[in-house]
Amino acid sequence: MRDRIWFMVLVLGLVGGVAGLGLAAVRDLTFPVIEKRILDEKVKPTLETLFAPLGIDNDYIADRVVLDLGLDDWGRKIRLTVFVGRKGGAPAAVALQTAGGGYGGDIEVLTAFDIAGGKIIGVKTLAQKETKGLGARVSDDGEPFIKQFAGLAYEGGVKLRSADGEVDAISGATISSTGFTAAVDSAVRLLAERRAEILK
Amino acid sequence: MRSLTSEFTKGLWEQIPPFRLVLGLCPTLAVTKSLEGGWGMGAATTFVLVMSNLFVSLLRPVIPPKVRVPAFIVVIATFVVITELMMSAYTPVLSDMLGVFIPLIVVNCIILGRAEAFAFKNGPGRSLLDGLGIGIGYTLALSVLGSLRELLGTGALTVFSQAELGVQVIPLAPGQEYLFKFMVDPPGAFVCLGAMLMLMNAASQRSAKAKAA
Repeated sequence: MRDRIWFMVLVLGLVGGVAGLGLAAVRDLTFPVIEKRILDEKVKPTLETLFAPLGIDNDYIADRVVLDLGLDDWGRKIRLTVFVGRKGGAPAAVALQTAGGGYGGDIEVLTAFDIAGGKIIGVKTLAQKETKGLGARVSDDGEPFIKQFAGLAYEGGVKLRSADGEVDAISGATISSTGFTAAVDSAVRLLAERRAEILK
Repeated sequence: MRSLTSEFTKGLWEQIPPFRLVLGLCPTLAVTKSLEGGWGMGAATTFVLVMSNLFVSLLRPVIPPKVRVPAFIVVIATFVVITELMMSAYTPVLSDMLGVFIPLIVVNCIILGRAEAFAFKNGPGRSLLDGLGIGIGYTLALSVLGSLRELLGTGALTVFSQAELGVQVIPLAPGQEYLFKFMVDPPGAFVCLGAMLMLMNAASQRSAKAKAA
């Protein structure tokens, strides 16, 4: 019987199935710990600086909201994590991470919004592959291009001056500036579209 | 048939990997920049080795010999992923240090070698002891190699950097980073491993001569 094909298939199937179940259990056990570590290391320091001026008093890492953005080309769910900062229980600030196409690839941007004031608190580049000395300046927090987003009223979207907006591009890095601004603009749109879900 | 004790102790000297079995050399060379890397890799490998030996031995009556290798790989890969997830969650610093070499335990020949050559032919008790012995032997070897390289390379011995356990044995001048940088570079690993192999062969030749005389 051990030489029959069906028996081999059955044994391998069973071994694989049991292994899969075991792995699923271990993943469920460790996933929250790993996720929390990554958020604490990568996102928390940035959010602390961005949220500091508003006197946020909740644990916005623990209170994060996960939005469902539909399905991608392979039918997998696209999720977006949104951080909501509260002051005395009422939502005061929202931060979300979006991406825009730059010159060397996607530019990942974290945008923080002051909900009550209708303004952008600030923006921070989380990842980019732009040209050194030109587009890569989006990673520099002291860069004038980055600083002009702070305090900008966001209702109606954020656009470059060339598209009748208020943001001046980095000269010599138009594509990077456009991609970066597009990322911020899509954050504005997401916030407007899903406002009820985010601020519940 | 060997005694149960010797199934365990053979891994500590007589068949100590990487020196005697000369298997699993790739991670040996790569992760032994420090004592911590050495014992961390050794402990992870030991866990996978013990569990895979145990499960391969338990599944021995039902696994058809023709499909034994895929079955071994599934068992080994499962325990490697468990190790990877656990380390990433609870010992993140060590997990970042060892990086890709943790998932690569899947293809470590010591583990597949023990499953094929030992666990598939012996009972669960013996297989467990064999895995434990070989695993501890491997951990010892990596720890010695790691300590030697770290001590000569940077003058320090780190035990567990997540809890800041470690000592600076040889003090460095301010601004100095290495004592002998060659030792923590990849070529230093080859030289150290070669020197240790030479010493071990000399020692066992001497004891063989003593027995013969």
